[in-house]
Amino acid sequence: MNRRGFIQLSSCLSGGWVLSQLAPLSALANDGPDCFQPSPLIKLCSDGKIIVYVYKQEMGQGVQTSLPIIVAEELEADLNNVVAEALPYAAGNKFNYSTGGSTSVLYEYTPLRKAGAAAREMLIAAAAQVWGISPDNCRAQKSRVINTITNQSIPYKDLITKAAALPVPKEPALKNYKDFSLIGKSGIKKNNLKDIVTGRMKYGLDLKLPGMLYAVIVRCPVMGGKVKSWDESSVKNIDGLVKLFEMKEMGAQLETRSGVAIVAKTRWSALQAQRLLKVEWIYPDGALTRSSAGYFSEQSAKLKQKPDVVYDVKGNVIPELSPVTKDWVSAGYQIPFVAHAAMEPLNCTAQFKDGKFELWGGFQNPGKTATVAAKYFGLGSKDVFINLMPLGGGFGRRLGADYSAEAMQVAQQIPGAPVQLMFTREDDMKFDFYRPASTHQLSAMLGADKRPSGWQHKIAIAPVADFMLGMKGSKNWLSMEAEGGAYGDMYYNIPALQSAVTRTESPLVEGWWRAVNFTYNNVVIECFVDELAKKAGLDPVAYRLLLLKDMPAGKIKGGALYEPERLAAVVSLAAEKMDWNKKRPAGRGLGIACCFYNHAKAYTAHAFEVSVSKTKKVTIHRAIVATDVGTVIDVDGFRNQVEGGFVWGLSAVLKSEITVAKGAVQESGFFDFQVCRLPDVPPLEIHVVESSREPGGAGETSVPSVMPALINAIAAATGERIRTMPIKNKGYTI
Amino acid sequence: MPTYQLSVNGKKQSVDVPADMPLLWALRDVLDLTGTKYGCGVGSCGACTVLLNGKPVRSCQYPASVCAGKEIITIEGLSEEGTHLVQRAWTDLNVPQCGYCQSGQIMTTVALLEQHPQPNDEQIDEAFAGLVCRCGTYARIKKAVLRAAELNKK
Repeated sequence: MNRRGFIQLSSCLSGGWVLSQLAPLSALANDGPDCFQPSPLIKLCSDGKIIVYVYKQEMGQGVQTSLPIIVAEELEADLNNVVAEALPYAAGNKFNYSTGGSTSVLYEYTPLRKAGAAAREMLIAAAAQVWGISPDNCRAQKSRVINTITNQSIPYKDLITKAAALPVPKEPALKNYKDFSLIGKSGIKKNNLKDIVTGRMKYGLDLKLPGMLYAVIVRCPVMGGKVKSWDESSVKNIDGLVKLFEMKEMGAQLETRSGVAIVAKTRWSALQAQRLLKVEWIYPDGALTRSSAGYFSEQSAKLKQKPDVVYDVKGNVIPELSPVTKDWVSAGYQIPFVAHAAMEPLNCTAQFKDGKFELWGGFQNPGKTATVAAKYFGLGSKDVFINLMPLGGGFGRRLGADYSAEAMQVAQQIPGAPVQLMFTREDDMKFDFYRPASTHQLSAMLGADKRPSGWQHKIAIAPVADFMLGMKGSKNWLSMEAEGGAYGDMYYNIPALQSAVTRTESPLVEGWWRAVNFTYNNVVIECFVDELAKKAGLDPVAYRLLLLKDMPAGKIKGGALYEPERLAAVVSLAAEKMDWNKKRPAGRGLGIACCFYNHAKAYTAHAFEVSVSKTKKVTIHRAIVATDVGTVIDVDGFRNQVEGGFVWGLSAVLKSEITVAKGAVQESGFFDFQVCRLPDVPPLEIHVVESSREPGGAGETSVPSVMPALINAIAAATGERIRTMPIKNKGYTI
Repeated sequence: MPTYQLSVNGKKQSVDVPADMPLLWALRDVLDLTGTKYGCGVGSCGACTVLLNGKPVRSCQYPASVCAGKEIITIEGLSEEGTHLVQRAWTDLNVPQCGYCQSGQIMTTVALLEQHPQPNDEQIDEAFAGLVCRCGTYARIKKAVLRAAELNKK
């Protein structure tokens, strides 16, 4: 057969020692079916199989379902023939493996459609040749090309050789939205469902290699602390220990701790030794005095000083950055550190051999491991081969390369042997890259029309980029922490605006957490808008619609087009489904909040009906979400994300908090870092706006507005305005 | 090292492990039954739930030695093809997201339906209060439990 499909592939994935291990090329073996590969992402074979390679990482958000659907739609493939496979990581190839920000569908939609459409046109042209007719007299359906004159058909699998000989069309015709048969249709099951329900799905922690050793690390509980000494006699009774050695801090962007690695023949030996090993630490000056309560005080104090960045200045704003007259409404909010706490604790298996690394595990951003971590060892990205496995949850935590870098440091000490580094749950909880804690002061003055005639939002925070990007001191990254309404992206029509950000020094390493800065900035803005509505004597829904009135559409900072009428539409839809204006029994409170999640071009509103007992037990009578993300690809998968985002937001507003004492994280498991469990979660009524617009993203978009909507509902029911999270700290339970 | 006879999914197997090694690691690291997951190691998340003589237990909390001679059922013991009625219900409802906790959720359901073939809300809440799904698939888990109970009738 003609191999030009494979030749095209090889030129797309630039060379290097890893190429021979790439799955797509393994089909070059002479036995097995003939295949053709019109794009590096699609392979059609004479056995009927159609493989779609997915370079975005599957972590539960469903990219191994949604992305193949996009290809199959344009390819006119029978979904039953389609197999999704993870595209192995290859240094230097053109694909962006980094998976975060709810951007996979958003950015891959058009390229994947074009790839599918190009393959379809090649198959049609091949069939047209067979019949000696014009391609215009052919159409494709369910993995077959149909002759529209005779109604004969040829399955794709019989057109492989002929299609492979044809040129790949550069600008294939894309289908119209109305002709979609897969995109936006319900009833499609998750790609790896059977593997999950039978227990066969292999995550990083399930990997077992011949001769594999097991490693855990005793890390310094305090950031910046160092190993002074350790007492090997404390673990002398443990069988099977292979080696104990000091772990070095690996610097900016990796942010690993000093510690002692324990490598053992069995996991159980390593875990026992971790519990028993006595380690002495040297702490940096002042580190032991740090606490989360103290950090909030530092932030509050900083808010009274001159900010580092003044931003978003529009209209006639207050000169001194501090409201002075009694006409101003002002409120302070505190948002805590929180952990990601994915169900699969962090882990990575590494082997160091002949000066190169091979890794196995789940990574949201394998490229960071191949570049930043490799650089630490004086290696290039081609010296690291990464086997990508499904993630037992990501939520932003696995964007880091700390755990892979640590695994590499461990493996380098034991050349030749594969070593599986695992975090215990306690390690995972105590050595997270936490969602930043922040303190906010919001102030506004109401004008004659009851809209804010002036608005000021001051934020004290340590930027995530200090840690994730090694950008300590950068004003640009500091100001980005205002995103979500205070970064030139205010989504309400307010004539005079000012926001300001002040840097604080975090006692903990920080990272991106599902829905990132929107989980603080959007949250406090949506609470404060409710406070203003009350001051104005207006209903919270009517007030939001008033603030959205006459707001012009346009590109906001960050690049996304903001269409305020879509935000107003989801607010109205949520309110309508809630029967917002219907009279309720005494003691019931309604709350609403909305979010334009610009990273994913998505519009969401949540509404709650609650009552609160004298003992502050919250009963959620109804919970509603209205959401508009444009075209939805995988309908049921999308709904699952919206349901999950709801639970994520509920956990954060109700229960979840990471605290610091003596410089160390206090929580160590699901018993003290609390998240919602099944009995806590009420039914969610989901209303999705049907749309043929370009798709947005799903994973994070339905998180932020859950939190302020619930707080607003509680305020309506009780009169108590809560300005800190989680609300369990104010005595509320569910 | 002592040897224990474990009966797992109807198959008797000898394992040479320290007496205090939790069943979880004996299953996963010695018997290669990795469907049972490690989530916390202290019995507070339920990802490692298996059936021990029909009862749902946290396999991270039971030394393998204590389980000798008892019937252990893991996710792999339900069916290879996903045909067990609880697996079918999970498939019908398209429950999982990342899937990591689902073995524990499914085994909990198997035990619940054994005890209460038609469970009510309180019984479901009680059975699942100790389990965590960080992706937040609880609403689907509950629906799938009820679907499995429906299938149970037939």
